[in-house]
Amino acid sequence: MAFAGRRDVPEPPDFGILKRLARDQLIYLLEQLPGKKDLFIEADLMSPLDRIANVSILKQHEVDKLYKVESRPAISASDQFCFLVRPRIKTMRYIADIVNADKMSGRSRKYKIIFSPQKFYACEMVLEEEGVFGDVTCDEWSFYLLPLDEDIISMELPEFFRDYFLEGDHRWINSIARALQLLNSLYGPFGKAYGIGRCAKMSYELWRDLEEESEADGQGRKPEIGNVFFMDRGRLERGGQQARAGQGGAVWAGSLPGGAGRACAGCREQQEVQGGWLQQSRLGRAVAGKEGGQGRSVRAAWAVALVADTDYVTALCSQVVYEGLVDDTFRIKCGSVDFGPDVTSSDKSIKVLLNAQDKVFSQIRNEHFSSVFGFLSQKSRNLQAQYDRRRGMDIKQMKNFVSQELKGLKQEHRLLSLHIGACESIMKKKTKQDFQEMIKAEHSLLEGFDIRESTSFIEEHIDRQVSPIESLRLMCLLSITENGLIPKDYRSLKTQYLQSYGPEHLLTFHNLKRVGLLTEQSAGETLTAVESKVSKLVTDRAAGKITDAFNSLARKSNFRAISKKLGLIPRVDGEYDLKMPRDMAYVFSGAYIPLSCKIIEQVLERRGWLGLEEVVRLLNGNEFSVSGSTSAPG
Amino acid sequence: MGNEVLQNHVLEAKVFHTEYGTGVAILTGAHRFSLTTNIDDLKLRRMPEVPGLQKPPSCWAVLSQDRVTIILLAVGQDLYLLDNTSCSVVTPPGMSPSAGAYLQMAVSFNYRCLALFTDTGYIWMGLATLKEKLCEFNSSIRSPPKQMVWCMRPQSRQRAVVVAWDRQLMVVGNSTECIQFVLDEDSYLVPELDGVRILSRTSHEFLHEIPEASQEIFKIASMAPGALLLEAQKEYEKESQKADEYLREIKDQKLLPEAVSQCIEAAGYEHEPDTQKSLLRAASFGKCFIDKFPAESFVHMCQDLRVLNAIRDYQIGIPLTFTQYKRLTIEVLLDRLVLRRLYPLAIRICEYLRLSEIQGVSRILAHWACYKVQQKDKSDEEVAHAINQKLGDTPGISYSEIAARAYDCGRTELAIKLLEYEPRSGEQVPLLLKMKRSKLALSKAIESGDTDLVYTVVLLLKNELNRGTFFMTLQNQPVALSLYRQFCKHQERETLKDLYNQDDNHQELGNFHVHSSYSEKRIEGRVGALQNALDEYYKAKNEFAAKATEDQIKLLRLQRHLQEDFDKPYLDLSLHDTVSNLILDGHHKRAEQLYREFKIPDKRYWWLKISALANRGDWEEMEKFSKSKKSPIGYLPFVEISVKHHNRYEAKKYAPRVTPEQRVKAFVLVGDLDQAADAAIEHKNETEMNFVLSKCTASTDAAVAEKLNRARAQLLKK
Repeated sequence: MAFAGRRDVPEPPDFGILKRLARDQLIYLLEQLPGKKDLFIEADLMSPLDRIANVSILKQHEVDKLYKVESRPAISASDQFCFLVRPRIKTMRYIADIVNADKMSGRSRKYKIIFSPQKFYACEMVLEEEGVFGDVTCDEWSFYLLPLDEDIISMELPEFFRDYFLEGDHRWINSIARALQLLNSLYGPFGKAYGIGRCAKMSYELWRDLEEESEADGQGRKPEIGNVFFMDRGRLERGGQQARAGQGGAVWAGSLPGGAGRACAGCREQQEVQGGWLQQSRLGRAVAGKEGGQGRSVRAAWAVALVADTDYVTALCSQVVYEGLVDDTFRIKCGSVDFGPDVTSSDKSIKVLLNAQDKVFSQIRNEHFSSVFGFLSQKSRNLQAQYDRRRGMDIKQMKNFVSQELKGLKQEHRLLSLHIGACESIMKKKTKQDFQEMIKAEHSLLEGFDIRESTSFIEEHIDRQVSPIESLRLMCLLSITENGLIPKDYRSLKTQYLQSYGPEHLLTFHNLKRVGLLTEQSAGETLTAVESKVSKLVTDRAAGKITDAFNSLARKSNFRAISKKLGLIPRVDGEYDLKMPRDMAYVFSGAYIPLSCKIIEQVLERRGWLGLEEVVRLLNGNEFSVSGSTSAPG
Repeated sequence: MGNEVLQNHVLEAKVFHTEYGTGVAILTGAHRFSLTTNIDDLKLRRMPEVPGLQKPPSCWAVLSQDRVTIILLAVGQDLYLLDNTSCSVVTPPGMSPSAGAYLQMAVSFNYRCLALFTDTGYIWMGLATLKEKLCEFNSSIRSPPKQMVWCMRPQSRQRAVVVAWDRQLMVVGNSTECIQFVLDEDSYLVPELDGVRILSRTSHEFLHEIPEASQEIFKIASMAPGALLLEAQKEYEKESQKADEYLREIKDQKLLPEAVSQCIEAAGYEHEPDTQKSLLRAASFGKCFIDKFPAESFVHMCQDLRVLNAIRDYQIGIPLTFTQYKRLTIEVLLDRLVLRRLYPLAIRICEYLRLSEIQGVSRILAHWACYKVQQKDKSDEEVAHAINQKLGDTPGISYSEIAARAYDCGRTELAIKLLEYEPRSGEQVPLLLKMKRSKLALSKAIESGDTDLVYTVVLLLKNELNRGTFFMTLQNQPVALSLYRQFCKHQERETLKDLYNQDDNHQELGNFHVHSSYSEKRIEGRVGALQNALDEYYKAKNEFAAKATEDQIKLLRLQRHLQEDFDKPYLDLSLHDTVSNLILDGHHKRAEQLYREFKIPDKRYWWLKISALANRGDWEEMEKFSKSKKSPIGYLPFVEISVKHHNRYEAKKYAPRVTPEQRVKAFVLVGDLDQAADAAIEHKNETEMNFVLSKCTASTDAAVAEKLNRARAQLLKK
């Protein structure tokens, strides 16, 4: 999917600014502690930090040794310690232990804690309780948004999902609001904002408050970002043992008033990305592409969508596009991936940045896996043909070729062999695991056929200890599509799971139940009963305000009703053409159109929620749509 | 200011200004000096002793040079410099030896110049560094003057000293002449930035050097462009053609812009509105004849004069000069007006100068409101209403600040009423806490969406309330409760238990105990924690969790026995892995025992057993097992698992036992294409035939392929 050649797609705003800002601030903070210092970095900040400032930049600013937080330092002689951490209580205790140990042994050092993206009062309090508050200095590294690609930015907040949706902890709303403020100050006021979900609404409102307090004069600027879309959406983290489902409220771009726009932002989550976000951001492009194709007039404006618990299904289905599979197999971290020796066909692994700069990758990332091999072989034939042109060249042409084309060709050659290697690896892994049968089971779950058969498939999957995460994923998918498991299955599947993977998962199940991912159909409670309960909550606003967040957590899925309303399960006669897809469902081999993407498509088409009342009700309400004060007439 | 002051009293004190702020120097009864350079950051410095000082010095002054503050004092005919560490005798350059004893000294407003007066009537004037003499003068008055001060204007080279005796004022400078004035009353001199204020009981006069611009214009018979312009304008008003002549004269010299500037500048120095007006009129008249004369200077001067005239009014009584006003800045002036509670005037000035609301009007209104809350004669409602009426939603107004002031005055109820007007709930919290309205503070903090604020309140409440009430308060605020739970999870796990206990949340208590069981090292401890969990789960009526926990306890105990019996790690394995390990190690009986005890489903047990046996390579046992009874998982898994372990020989044994539907696949797996083909043909299934065909290679399996092709053709014919 190349965009460059499309005139109806406006250029993305320069998200590089975000990187430069973050880097400059980090350098400034490091300089605040002059002289040589050891830097302790929180594990999950390592990948994002790598994208902002590499080791040599850190060394330039007198960082001596680098340590990972949670591994005790090998006896360090440095007089200055700098900690680059997330605002977590656990980390504070770790720091306090170091400081207290130094005190005991009579060592005096300087300690500086840099919180990213912001400091929380609870952290300071822990420092105080541990008696080290006076020994450390604290700073904030306002690193809210990391551009992963030309058109995706992410907040990289791994604990957001767990904190908000499981624990009901609202800490991060403030961070989201501040990130929005940053976007707003850098790229001008947003043209239009749409949102759905309680978290989305809170984020939006808090952001508005922040804007009012700061009284920034963003007025009169040309908006570079057209539409903002807020959505609560949940996501299961596959690596999670205890429904550590992590999700930072993915942000992505839908399309703008005129019609076109590309995926551009993602407050994406965690180290172990399920990868759903990838598909969706691409889908955003798919949406955009479709609309652009209708030849509407286009304004040069960009769209950002903040997607934050609405659409679990998307995250629970197996990925079948190339980028998704790469993520499944090798884990994409902050837009880069480590290809092991089996891919590189040498003895060392290579770190590769996966973004639009990679010419090979950018063409296959969104393609269904079945067509990737064909594309790659075509590509290698083309490459060979270009190499072959050398024959029969005269000296001058040859010189030209070497100086201008050869480097590009070599680069492409290198990438091509890497991606072919990756494909082979994926194939090997997927064929081993009865991937086909799993996909089949997923599709029947989505369509609501042969539930018994799928349930036995899941049971066998558990009994054979195929993979704890995959088993859990299938169970959740079953629960959501069927609006909870029937009590007999609920008990037996859980029992089987505990026998296979250990009794500690008792807590996992409890957490999954709380977020509504894996629930039991209660005897008397039919779908309509749940609905009326939900709508009662929505009307009774005062009560809603307090209990809403908690009820939404325990909310039951209305998957069937919503997918019927929005046509999320395409009815296809015959084979689904994956090479020339008709809709976004191609990302799941034609079985399912991701809900979040469909909603964005619909809202942008309608310029609001009008006509979507039923869907909104099923999604538990809290929708809004606000026009920016500066939005020009479209 | 220390013990010394308490014991010896202060004889004299002098206020001075430095880069650091306003300072004070004192002379104590013990004839010692102490000083502080900044009264806002009080650090008292005791200066060294002056040798042989028995009585107070005849005069002294504070000098400030290069950021160092020193004291100059005179004792009889000697001058001493006191700095931080030492005391030295100095002699000013060019001092006449017969000058006599010092009586008076004066430091200029800018601390650059120093004047000394001796008992012979001699005045020495020089730099405060005592490195250079500027001039000297002999007044031939021997009596000590009451006061001596410098009179100078910034940027002017003319410096003069004003000396005052009882009824006489003498201005001396770099000249043999002096100017003398008679004082009608007892007067006091105040040196200022650009002149000297002379205050007496009935009058207030300002003595200053006439600025250049005024001199040029008003000097008798002056031909300066400004003077001519003023004259021209006057003639113009008289409708005389002389106006044109004067104007021409200025224009011929091309000095019209200078003339206009001169008039504007001179207007600033005038105190009489009429004179100001005539000068400004002249400037405006002159402007007409210049192309593109920038209007700013004229407009600003008009505005400044209007402000100055307003504050010079006797009812206000702030007779600032233009130079002083400019140095002070409008902000400081507004502060002074606010301090004098001249709110309406201050507001009108802000509006007139079009200052931004936050800097101007709102700030003044806020001050007004803070004053208003102190009016005790009005009821809370009245005051709150009056304030809100006036302030409304003016941007930049902080109702919380006003409320804080009301609280300081002891009017808590008023403060709460005022806080209601505060739109930012976050701002209300600190004051509410201070007023001990913690519960209200908590709900406001939650409203603000700022979790840090919620934490602040929660932790304050924690210390303030007893545990029971604290928990009850949290129960009503889910947002705060979940924040506090998060905190406890990491920092105070025991509190977490109490929290769950409080609202009889047995499910969470059970989870809590399960969680704790993992941090127990000893097996007894773990079982104990799990037993607690079990009880809680029963109370929560969660039979599933209770059963699972019971099983876990059983498993743990069993694993401990296994570990003891076989000296191998079994603890913390899942049931599946435990049984699997037992089979791997050949303890089939024990495995069988667990299978029955935990009611492991047959399917799982078969899967588990064959894969463990295959891993162990115990094909004999596997075959025995396969014959023990009918397999609940069929026989294809036997084939698959044997093939996986590259044992085709074993795999072949099971292939015929596979159900007919899967038999083709089984034969293909074991590599027996011939049999696979037969099975497929038997089933008359085209897809199966094709599947087998695709596995055939031309060289080796030609016969099979042919057989298949034939069968397929036959099938198609039908």
